[in-house]
Amino acid sequence: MDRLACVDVPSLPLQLLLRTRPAWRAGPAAVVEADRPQALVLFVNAAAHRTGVRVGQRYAAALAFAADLQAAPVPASVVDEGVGRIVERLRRYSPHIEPASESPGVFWLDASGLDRLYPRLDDWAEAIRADLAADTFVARVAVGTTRFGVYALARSARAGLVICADPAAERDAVERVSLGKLDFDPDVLSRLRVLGVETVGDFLQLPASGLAARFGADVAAWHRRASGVDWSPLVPVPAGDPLDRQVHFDAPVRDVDRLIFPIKRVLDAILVAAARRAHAVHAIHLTLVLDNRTTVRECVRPAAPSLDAVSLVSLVRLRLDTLSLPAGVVTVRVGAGASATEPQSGHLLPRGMRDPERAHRALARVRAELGETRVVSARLDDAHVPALQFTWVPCERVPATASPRVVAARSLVRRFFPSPVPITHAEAAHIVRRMGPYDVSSHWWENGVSRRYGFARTEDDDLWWIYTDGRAAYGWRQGRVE
Amino acid sequence: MTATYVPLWCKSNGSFLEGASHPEELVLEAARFELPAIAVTDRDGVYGIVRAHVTARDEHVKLIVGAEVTVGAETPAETASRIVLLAADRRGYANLCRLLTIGRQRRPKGQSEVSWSEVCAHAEGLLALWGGEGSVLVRPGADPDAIARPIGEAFGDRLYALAARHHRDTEVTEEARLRARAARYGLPVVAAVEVRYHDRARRPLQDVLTCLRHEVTLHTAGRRLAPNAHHALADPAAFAARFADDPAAVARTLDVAARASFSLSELRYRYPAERVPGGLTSSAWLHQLAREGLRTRFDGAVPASIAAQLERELALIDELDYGGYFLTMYEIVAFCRSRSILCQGRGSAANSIVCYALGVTAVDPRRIDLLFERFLSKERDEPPDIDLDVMHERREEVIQHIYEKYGRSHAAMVANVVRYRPRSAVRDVGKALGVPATSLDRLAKLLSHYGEIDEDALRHAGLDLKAPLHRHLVELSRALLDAPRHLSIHPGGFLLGHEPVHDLVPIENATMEGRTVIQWDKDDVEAVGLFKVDILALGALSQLDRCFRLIDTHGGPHLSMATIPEGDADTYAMITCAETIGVFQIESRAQMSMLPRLKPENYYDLVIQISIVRPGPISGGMVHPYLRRRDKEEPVVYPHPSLEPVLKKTYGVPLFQEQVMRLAIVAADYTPGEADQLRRDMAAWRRSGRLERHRERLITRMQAKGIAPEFAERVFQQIRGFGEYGFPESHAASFALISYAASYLRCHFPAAFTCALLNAQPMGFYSVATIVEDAKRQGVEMRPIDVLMSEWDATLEPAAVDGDRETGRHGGRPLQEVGGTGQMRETPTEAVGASGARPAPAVGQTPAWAVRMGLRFVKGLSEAAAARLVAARVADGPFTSIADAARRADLDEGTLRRLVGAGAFDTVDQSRRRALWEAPVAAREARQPLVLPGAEAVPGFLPLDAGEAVAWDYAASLHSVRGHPLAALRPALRRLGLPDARGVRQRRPGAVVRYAGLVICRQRPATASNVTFMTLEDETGFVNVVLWERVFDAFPVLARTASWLGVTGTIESKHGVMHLIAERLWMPEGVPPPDPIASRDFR
Repeated sequence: MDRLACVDVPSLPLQLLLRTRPAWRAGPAAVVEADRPQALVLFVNAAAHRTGVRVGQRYAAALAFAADLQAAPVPASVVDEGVGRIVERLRRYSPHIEPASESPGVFWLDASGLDRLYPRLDDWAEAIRADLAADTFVARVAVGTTRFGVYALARSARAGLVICADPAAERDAVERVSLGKLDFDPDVLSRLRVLGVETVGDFLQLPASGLAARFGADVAAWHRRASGVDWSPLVPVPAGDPLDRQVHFDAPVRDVDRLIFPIKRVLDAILVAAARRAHAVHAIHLTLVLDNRTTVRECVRPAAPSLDAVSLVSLVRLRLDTLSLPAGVVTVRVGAGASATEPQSGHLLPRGMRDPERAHRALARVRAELGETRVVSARLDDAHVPALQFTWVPCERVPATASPRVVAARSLVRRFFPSPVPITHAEAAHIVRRMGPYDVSSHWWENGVSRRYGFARTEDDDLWWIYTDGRAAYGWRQGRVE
Repeated sequence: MTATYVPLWCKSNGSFLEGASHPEELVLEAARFELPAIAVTDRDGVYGIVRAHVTARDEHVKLIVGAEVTVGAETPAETASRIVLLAADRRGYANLCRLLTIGRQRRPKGQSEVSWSEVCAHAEGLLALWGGEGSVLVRPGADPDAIARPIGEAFGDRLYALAARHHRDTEVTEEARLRARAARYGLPVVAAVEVRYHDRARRPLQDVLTCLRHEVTLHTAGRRLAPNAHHALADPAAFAARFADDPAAVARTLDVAARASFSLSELRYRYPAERVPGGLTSSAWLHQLAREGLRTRFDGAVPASIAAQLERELALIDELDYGGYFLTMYEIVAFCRSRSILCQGRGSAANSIVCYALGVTAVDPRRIDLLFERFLSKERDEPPDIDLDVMHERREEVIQHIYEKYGRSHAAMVANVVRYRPRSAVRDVGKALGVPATSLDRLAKLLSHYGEIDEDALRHAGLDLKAPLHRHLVELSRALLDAPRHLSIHPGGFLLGHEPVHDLVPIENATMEGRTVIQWDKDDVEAVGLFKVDILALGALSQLDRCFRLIDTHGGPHLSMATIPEGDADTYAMITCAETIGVFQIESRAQMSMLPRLKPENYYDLVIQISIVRPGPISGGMVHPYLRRRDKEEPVVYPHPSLEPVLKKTYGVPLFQEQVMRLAIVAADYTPGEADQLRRDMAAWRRSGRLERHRERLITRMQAKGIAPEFAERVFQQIRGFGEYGFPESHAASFALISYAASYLRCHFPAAFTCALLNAQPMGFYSVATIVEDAKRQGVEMRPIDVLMSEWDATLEPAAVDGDRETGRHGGRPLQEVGGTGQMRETPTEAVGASGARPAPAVGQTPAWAVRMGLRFVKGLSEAAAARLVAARVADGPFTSIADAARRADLDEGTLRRLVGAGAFDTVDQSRRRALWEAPVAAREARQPLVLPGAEAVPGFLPLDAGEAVAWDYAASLHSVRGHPLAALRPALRRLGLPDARGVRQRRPGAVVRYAGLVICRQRPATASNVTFMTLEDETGFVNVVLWERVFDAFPVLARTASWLGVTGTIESKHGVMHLIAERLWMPEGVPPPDPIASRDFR
């Protein structure tokens, strides 16, 4: 007889929130759908529940019950990450795990064939619970024979563990489960309750066809699942196909040529794995473990996601050539970041004079040779303080088209110094004329900036862009004017 | 001495979300700098000039009136520009107001835009300062020729180029451009700073306001914020230094100021002339109407003293030229009468016999001695103030009539400036600072609506006061308090003018469709000597109107406010028993507690009753002395013989605002004008501390007249108490008429009264459930919502005959003649104590009435669906099934479910659960052209028991006529040893009682020293619970939120009023919680 188990991590988003904000555990806390007063409360802890805060209230209304209610939204990405984390932990107990797609925190596990490892299913279930508890997750586990049965029992398990060896006993237990414990739509649940339908057993008394007509296909599907009419096999998430490999050297290696060949070999294998997934590599992560027990990490990115081993290896080589390692390499780990490839048809079109792809490849080579942060472009920012009016950001792509501005007459240009230079006494003596001032006092809500800017003409007819802020006797040179 | 200057471009916080200082602060700062004048030039408005004017008058600083006007782009390529306009004379001010009206009415609320040609068309009497950031005069590449020529011609030598310096980086080149262009057009340059705050310390607040205007945070605002703090009002030396290179431009500010000679005190207001019969003047027409009216009021026998008083009032009205105002009020009242719209004047107008004679007010001067000076006084030279209460649901008709009669240019509603209070300030500042919205909401909920921003609240909200972000939040929120947030509409104030109103003040569109509003609020209107007509909505009048109509159309007498019999003993007996749920002004918990002590026996007792349960008398310590003296438990003494006439009618205790004014006149030799100022200061003392200036004067003068210092001090404390909320006798006198009328109807026509009260909801203190329960206790038969019988509103139906009674239904009361008047009423039942149940009513031979609940009480049911249902029933007879109703009335599933839930289909299908199961299919098939008969098996559903039926009723309609939610629980409660409310009332004082009931009302009056009052209800009546602060703090969640509550406490009873003094609160265990009645909390 096949065995199935269900692990329920109740209110998973709230558990994830409290992991990051442990101080909130002591008092009333809730997960809200968004950071705004009218957001719905989605999950509450016991302290909040005691004060009268309920799921479905608006946060603003919930505050009337618990003035000290702490709340924050939990993004879907965080929940997904949490689900992934739990799946990885559960892999220690079953090779086949299916997380519920619409109920984060519910996981079905294939519990068959574990007799040799765990002669008693109680021990197996308890081990799962303890393991998750070690990672600060509270969980309930039910073991039985049907997908719906173990789900309903896990949801209603008061003691945290339910083991049903007998299908009939399981069915009896499931029929006693309150519908409120299951993930019914709250509106449907309240409509069923007014009809006097409180338990799974009551629910199963209703005609399936009538349910579909009145409550929709979803509720009818619940009915079919609960009655066993619908059966669906476990759809386990595949274990991650690793896109990383490592190479150990018997003796420490310093020579790049000796490093590059084994790297090429494992890279070829990685590219094959990526191609099988219809992915292409957009980054190569190198971890070099040195003989002196230190580790060097590097990342090389091609101009575009690629499966071309030659160009990727050449980029790796460029990067390795720039490294000056203090000790020989004993282990190289090569990992790849890969993403789905999209069909390309650009190469079918005639190319113009500008070839952005070549530019991208050139930038990739510059990055590989000089470092990831060396290719930048300026992004203009909206601020009064000159130094805050732009930010250098990594330049990933060159513009597809250029639109050079036609300048009729060259005007004066202010050149920024990389950082302001204090004006010395001697330099100040050379200033023959000052122009300005204009004042910038800003960001009073943070540390505050208060500067008096101006221009200074020197005896040599240079034009300086200067400011004073009380921190240097003669002020600072922000730049020069050409 | 440093050369002085005049700031010509100053924006107060009347420039909403831009200026960061109050207009008064700007003027006071100008006075501190010894500036000779200051211009207040709010953005597209004159919102701040009245406050500035009043302060400038006190500080002897000249106020220049102006505005910064937004001018739209002439071509799509341009951007909007602005120009500062200053009023040189009265004509210029009128032009400015007209121009702003055009700009405001063209654009959505909050925006304004005029064209250059409109600016030119309104140039007369205005000085123009052209320039500033973004102006065409400074913009690179712009060609100002097309604009400069026409405005040059329009303004002539009254046009100046505005050189504004704020130490911005682009200013030098812009000013050079401005000067070059000014030279080209021959414009003199005048120096200015665009003042946005009076002190540079307000710069952070100004940045926050900028963020709010643009809906960004400080972190994302970028260059929307000013680059520096150079927008403060500069002292003369700093201003001269800023323009050291051009002293002539500085000196020219004085020239401009000298030319701007207009003052708001020049506004002369004329009331619109009413149409009068040929050959008569307004005055003669008013005299004629008043004399005729008075003769009608007194059936031709006008007492000599009343006639003499009328003549005195008319003479004074003539002298002050307010005749038009009275004629307007007369016309509005006549309009209401002609349309059968119930209305009644109140407020100080009730002090006037002219108002009484014209039918504007209804307080008979023989019944009450009122102070005419409170209404109108020559010395005060202030306009009269008549508030006209109009039945709530038809007020809009009156408003639109006024617009139609006077025209949009001569009539506009007065504004209400919505100002920042602690909660809104914290929310908005926090938003700009980027504080998470959920934290702000938590904090805001801990703050009071008014008052200060308490640091304890921040701590309780979990904010760290040492963190810079949270310190900014506190400091900036405090700075923002009382600043204007936006403009809304005064509840009913109209400004009418003989001249167009837009020559006095700009008019703009209100958010509400069909309304226009001026830019000043009621205080501004009053400060500049204009007067408004108040048309206020009153739900109680709607209720009375409905009740009169119901009685009339169901065979009862034709009653009106004028024909209700006076001094009805049964009515006063009912009032004394505190049987006043649904009665205007005397239905609150506090009022009901006072009624058995005060025992009103006549109209004036009712006036006292309405006035005494107010914060003023309570915090002034006047209530208990009054009651003791009235009950002859202590002697009536007067602090000075001269005060006896003032205080005699209230046993030596001042209870009314008018008495305080008279007291000041008699005891402290205040002039009537000073006394009226005292009244104003009383109302504003907490805000401005203006009352303190009366303290010395009052106490010294009273002592000089031989009044003991202790009494003088006590009188002053009482005056302070009145400041909290003193009630004028004239108000109470008008309200008492409505209270009495409502009480009379409740006493003699309980079914009609209940029906009208239900249909007038929402109003008053109590929920529908409480009104229904109260009516049942009065013996009124209440019938459930029924698709076969109910209309949208509740209706009256013939009450049950005896046979029906035997089946358990309760009949209403029959009609009988009202003592010798020839009028009919429902047979009165025996009056019982507060909240007690009445015995079953006697049944007479005349028809009695029951109340059928209307479809309007089904939660979420649309009026349109209800109308279809009723129409289908009327057209084709009763419904035979839920499917039949769905098909004939085109009802959707939601509507059917709501109706089934409320039991409205109980007479069609007795199983609500089965009906609910059928509803979706019935709704779907109703819209299908052809439905084939199906053979769907209907599951068996458990029938509802009595408790469930009541619970379903509450869930779907917030009430049940079938029973009280606690009735079904009574056996279980009895097993727990818990008595019902009737049982509690039978306990002796001092007894310790455990009681459980539904909380229907919570109140925590500011005057009650943190005492909370709760009213708990069960199927037998109410229990009044008192919670001292320590008990509230010990059980905060239950005290604040529980709707089903157990209380352990001690019985306290005095003067027939019983309270349960709570010691402990608990959640009743062992009984399922009933569906709660919606509690009216902390209203």
